[in-house]
Amino acid sequence: MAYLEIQSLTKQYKNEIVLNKVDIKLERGETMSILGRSGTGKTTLLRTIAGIVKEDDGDIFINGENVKEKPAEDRPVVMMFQKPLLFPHMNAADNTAYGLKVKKVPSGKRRQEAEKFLEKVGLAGFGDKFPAECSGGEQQRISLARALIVKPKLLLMDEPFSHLDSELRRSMRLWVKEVLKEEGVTALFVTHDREEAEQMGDKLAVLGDGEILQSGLAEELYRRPAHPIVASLASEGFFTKEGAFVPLAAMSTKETTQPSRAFRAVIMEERQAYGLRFYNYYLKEEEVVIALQDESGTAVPGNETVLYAPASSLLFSEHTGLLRAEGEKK
Amino acid sequence: MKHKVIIGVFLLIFSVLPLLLLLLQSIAPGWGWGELFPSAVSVQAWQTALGDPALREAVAVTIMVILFVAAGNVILGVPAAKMLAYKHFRGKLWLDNLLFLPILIPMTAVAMGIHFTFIRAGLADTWLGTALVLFIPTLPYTIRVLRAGFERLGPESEEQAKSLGSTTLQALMFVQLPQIMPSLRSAVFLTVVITAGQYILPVIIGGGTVPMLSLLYFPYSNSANEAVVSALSLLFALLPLVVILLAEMVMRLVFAAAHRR
Amino acid sequence: MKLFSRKKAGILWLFPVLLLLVGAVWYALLQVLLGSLEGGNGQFSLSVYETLAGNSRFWSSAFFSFYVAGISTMISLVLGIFIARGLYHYLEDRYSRFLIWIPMVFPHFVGAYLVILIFSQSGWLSTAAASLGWIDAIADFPILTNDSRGIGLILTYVWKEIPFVVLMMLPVYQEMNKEFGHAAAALGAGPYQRFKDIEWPFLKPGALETGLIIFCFVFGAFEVPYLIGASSPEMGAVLAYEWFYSGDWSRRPEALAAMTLLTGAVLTAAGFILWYVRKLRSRLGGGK
Repeated sequence: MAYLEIQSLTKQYKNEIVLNKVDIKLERGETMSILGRSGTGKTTLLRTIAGIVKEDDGDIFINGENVKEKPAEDRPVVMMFQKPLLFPHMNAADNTAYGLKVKKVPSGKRRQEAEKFLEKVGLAGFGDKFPAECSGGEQQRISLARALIVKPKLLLMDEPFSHLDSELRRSMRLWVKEVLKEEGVTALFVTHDREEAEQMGDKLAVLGDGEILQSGLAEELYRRPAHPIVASLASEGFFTKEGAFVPLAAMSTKETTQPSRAFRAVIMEERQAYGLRFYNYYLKEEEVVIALQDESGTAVPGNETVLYAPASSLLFSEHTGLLRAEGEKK
Repeated sequence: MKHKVIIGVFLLIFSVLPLLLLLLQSIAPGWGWGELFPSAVSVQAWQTALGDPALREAVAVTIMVILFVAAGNVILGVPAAKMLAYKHFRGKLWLDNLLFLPILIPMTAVAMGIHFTFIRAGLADTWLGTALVLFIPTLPYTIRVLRAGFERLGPESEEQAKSLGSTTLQALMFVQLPQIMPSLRSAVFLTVVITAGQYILPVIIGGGTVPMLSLLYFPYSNSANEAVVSALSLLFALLPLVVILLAEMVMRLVFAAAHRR
Repeated sequence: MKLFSRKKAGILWLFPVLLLLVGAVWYALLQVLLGSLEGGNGQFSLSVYETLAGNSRFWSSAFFSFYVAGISTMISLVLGIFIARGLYHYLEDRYSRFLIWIPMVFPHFVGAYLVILIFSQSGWLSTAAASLGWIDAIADFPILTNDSRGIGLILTYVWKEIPFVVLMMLPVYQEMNKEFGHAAAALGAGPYQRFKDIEWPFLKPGALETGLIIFCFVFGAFEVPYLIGASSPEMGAVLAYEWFYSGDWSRRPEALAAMTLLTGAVLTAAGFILWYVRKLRSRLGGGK
């Protein structure tokens, strides 16, 4: 059995199924990023594991022990939220050491440990500051120290950087990942940002419509997305009108003189999402071989003959069963 | 579920049961010790109470005074609350505390201290004088409640309205007040129940010549006719409800009229 | 020429408020103070206070007021916070929440009358006890109203002030971020610890302020003790009222001195608590 094993976790709010038989396996010391659009149950998943939300069905094993009947405070799990949620009436040291106070660690020892962990997150000497006196980044780092000090068997992170500005977010990621590895923490990291997910997780899982659609190494998901949502979140490429997906990686932009089947793709619509550019396009098989150029960067919606993709490159997509271009032939 | 039941039972014993007891007592004149439930009912006590001309006058005077105090509270309280919510100025902390303190000061002291001055000013023993002193225990609450409402609303609402060309007053009437209606309602509710329940201020300042309902209650409560006292007690609960309904209608009419202009 | 700028108009509007709440109130208190300092021959003297200090009736009623106000405040606060918490966490239904406001529409003296109806020796509880066979005669039922221990007074105030506590504390609960509790739970804090460490610090300023209001109100109250208080000891305000309006003019300075001391005690308590509450609030401002 893996260190963390979540088996067919299910949660329903009124008529909406938020989590539908979610399975997750994670080894000790590993970090997994869970990537999903907002409203796909990412936060509910973490809250259920933490015990804040009660699941309807399923099991959560941590180190072989089923924790699903335990209240949140008795689970060996710590959660970091979107906001730092530092207790405003406690200074940084008391905030950091709160988990130790709960465990009745004497106050002298608590202070010592708090200083140690504050130093670890790069905030040596911050012990007496109150949250109101700290910046957003500092607060989130104190929050991390507060989570790490209790040496959780599992750390859950719910988009902890989403309220920071983009530059700070980038530096925090690298740095938090480093601390997690140093401490050997097993962690689940939830985000809607592909770049962040790839950086933070050893493994990547995509959550959509309450289900884990695909999980594995980021590279695998990028090369062979098994679901349109996975494709849109964890890969780059083009969509057909019917939702079929052509990974960008599979498209060649070289000129070819070999005669082969070719499709003509007319871009119908361009949209921006998650910092990436996506195209919905209309596919048409051409009889002629056409020299190919990647014009994706300059494509304008409604333009007649905008992009050409050689048939050889599209075969890959047919292989995954995703491309249903036949229907588009005229 | 367990918690819900506990709260439900508590609310029942705490709120509903006393109300029912008053209701029963008021329609069961002969109900006394030894009977767990009344054996006979009659509306005689209500007839006695409502037939008393002194009481009818008291109801009219009380409603008039309450309406005056409630309207004054809103008219005076709104600008003060808005200022305390949005403006920053020197001495605000002190002003804040000074406006809050009347809640804490014993009204008996205020009444004793101001009585002679009111006599000299010709305000004692008049309904106006009585209504004026009734602002003291009510206006601090009104300002507090409305201020919290304005603070929750934030200054953006007014700024937005003004950027669209409305005056301060228009912004207040069309944009801000409609949005803080819940606070306005709470303020009126508090004003009404506090005013109706005042005894010592109308006794001393009104000198017994301004027949507020609370003044009738004390002699009645010594009369040992428990059914009539119960009926009168219920009247005290009905009165605020009637006035609040009236106030609600007035507020809606004012907003509607302001809109049409 | 424009007499008033717009800014000044706002301050002008504040004038009646200041006149009523600051001017009239402090003028009245000054009158009470001056009246209490009036010696026999129209000169200032502290002799009234000396007389008062030696008056055991004054001291017992001052102590009694303090005791009734203290107990009523504590019980109302504890139960009120408990109810507000329960209503907030477990009772989403808006309409059943309305039930808690029922005692608010009744004046304090009606509350006192209800306490007599229910708890007096000839009251409903006594009847209930008799029908259960616990007591045989009216006289067997314990004296709970018009009693020298102030039980009737405390019952009345608790009934009236619990909804007030809920009124003051429910918004605090509604504005409190539930996530703080979740964060604490995730760090291993159980329900009691979460209340003590997380919830209470948020409630504390509001609770102190509410407690101050209730304490001061009961401490200086007249109506309820006038209606259902024992004739001895009396609450401070009742004693002062009787001295003031007894027809015996010579007692007036004493009445005013008693009111001065009562008000002075209230203002001192208010000063400390308001200062402390402000300090607590300024800290809670950050860290969201």
